[in-house]
Amino acid sequence: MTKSLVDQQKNVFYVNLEETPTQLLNDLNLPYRKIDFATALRNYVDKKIQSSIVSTLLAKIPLLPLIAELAPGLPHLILLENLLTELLSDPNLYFILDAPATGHAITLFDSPETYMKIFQSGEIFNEMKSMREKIKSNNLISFFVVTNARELSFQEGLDLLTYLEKLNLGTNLLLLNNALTPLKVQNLPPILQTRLSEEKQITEKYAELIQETIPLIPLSSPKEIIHSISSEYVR
Amino acid sequence: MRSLHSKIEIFCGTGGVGKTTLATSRTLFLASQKKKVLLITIDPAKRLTQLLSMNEKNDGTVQTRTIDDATFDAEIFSPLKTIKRIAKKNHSTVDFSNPILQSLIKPHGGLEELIALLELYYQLEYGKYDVIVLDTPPGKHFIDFLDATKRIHIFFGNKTIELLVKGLKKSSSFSFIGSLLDQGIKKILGALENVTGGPFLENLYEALNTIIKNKETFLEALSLEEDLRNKEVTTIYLVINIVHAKEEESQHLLQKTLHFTSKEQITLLANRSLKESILTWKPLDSEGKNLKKFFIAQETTTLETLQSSFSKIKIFKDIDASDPLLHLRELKKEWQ
Repeated sequence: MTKSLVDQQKNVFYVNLEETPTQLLNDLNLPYRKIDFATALRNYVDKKIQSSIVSTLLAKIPLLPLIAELAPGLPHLILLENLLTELLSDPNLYFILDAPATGHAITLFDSPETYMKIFQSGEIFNEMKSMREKIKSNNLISFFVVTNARELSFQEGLDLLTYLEKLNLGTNLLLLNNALTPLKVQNLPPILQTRLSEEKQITEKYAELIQETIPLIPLSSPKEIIHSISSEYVR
Repeated sequence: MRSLHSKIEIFCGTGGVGKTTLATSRTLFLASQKKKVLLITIDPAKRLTQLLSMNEKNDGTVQTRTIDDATFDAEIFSPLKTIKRIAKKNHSTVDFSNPILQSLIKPHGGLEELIALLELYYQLEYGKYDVIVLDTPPGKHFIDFLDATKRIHIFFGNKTIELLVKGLKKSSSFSFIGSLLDQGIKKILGALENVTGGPFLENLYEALNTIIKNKETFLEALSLEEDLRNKEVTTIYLVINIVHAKEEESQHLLQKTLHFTSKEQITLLANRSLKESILTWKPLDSEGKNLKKFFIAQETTTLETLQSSFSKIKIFKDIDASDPLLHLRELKKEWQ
């Protein structure tokens, strides 16, 4: 997706919420933002507290890194707030957020609600509320749930999609990845036939939910695979 | 120091590579060898629920399962249940309606991996099992689990948190008044209150105080650090998908794991190998020929790339079955 938007001359940044695959991104010459959560949190607290004495005291004790580690989704939330501010000031800007796997993604997306419950009132509470409203009213987010067509994985993808629909923060799309169906091979061996029939059952049953089917790309390098997908499937 | 009777086997890897299925098949295999085994999944993605028909209502409770002639215990980890048990043991009252505590101990909350360490410690102390198989969350969250002892050290190793709690307890007349550090904490809290409002600080006090009241339990679990580093006790299985190996991520994970353990403790499990099943396949068209060539080349390259990083590698073939139970039975045979 990042590559496709770069090719369309869009102003886009890839942001990985866990580990940034810097080597691959550099090979592809794709712009990315590497996140330093501790610094983001420090800057946020500095901005909020507006007291250099307190900021200095905070810097001298290991409280902030500890809070950053313990508070679920807090650093991500601060990051999202920063990204949101940028997005609202530049309509041509895109951030592609590569989120963690299902369970941790849910914690992340839950975090505005979580912190509204924690703070209940006050400046941070109001900020969270305003952030959620801005996201909704500007239709700023599209969620792409990517899954393969194996029974257990697909069920997990469906559960995540249902959760996102309840969350109602933006457009939700389901993408089927590494699919065998589009390959049209005449005589698959038994193991791939089994996989294909499992895939066909899933795609028939959930045809209305699946937005795009991306085939298994039989190329060896991730770089080549990204080139192929970006030019043909995610434009 | 607890007895080293029980072994620990940890399954880790990036998302969607088959950690839970392989961990469950390993449990099944060990149980079939008449070992007493407990499988704990820290990652409440629904895989174990699906694989073993576990009822979500029983999260945090050990449930017994029998497949063919093998009987074993399994538990979907629940931070809430673990904290409740610890509080009961320590006779401390916990206000579970506290929103901060709720967010810290909910699945994937900030204390999840740390509480998982306490659960593992509890089960080891209980001494019922020969082997405890641990299925961990993907990627960095596994590192957070290994890192949990470090966080206990940070949390209880300096006086910051205790001073903070004393500072938050407004009605107290503690003896630190007058000290510079205490003044500093008071200043921080005053500034924080302007931003967060009062209820937050009250809840923060309650949440932190709950943790501090159970300090001894957290400190006891530190002894696990030694067990996790001991190759006689702990084996780590790093799982990858051999066809779609995320080599850069797997290497990151390996390097970070090596901060905590030795190379001899780690075995690479190259999962979902198709090579054996497609070697005799004679594709009739170019797409099929490309596909066969691709699968074989991918597996060869993955193994060549990762071979130098791992002293032990085990390959698991992809299973020709869509039924999860058939999968488990077939994978169990691979552990022989």
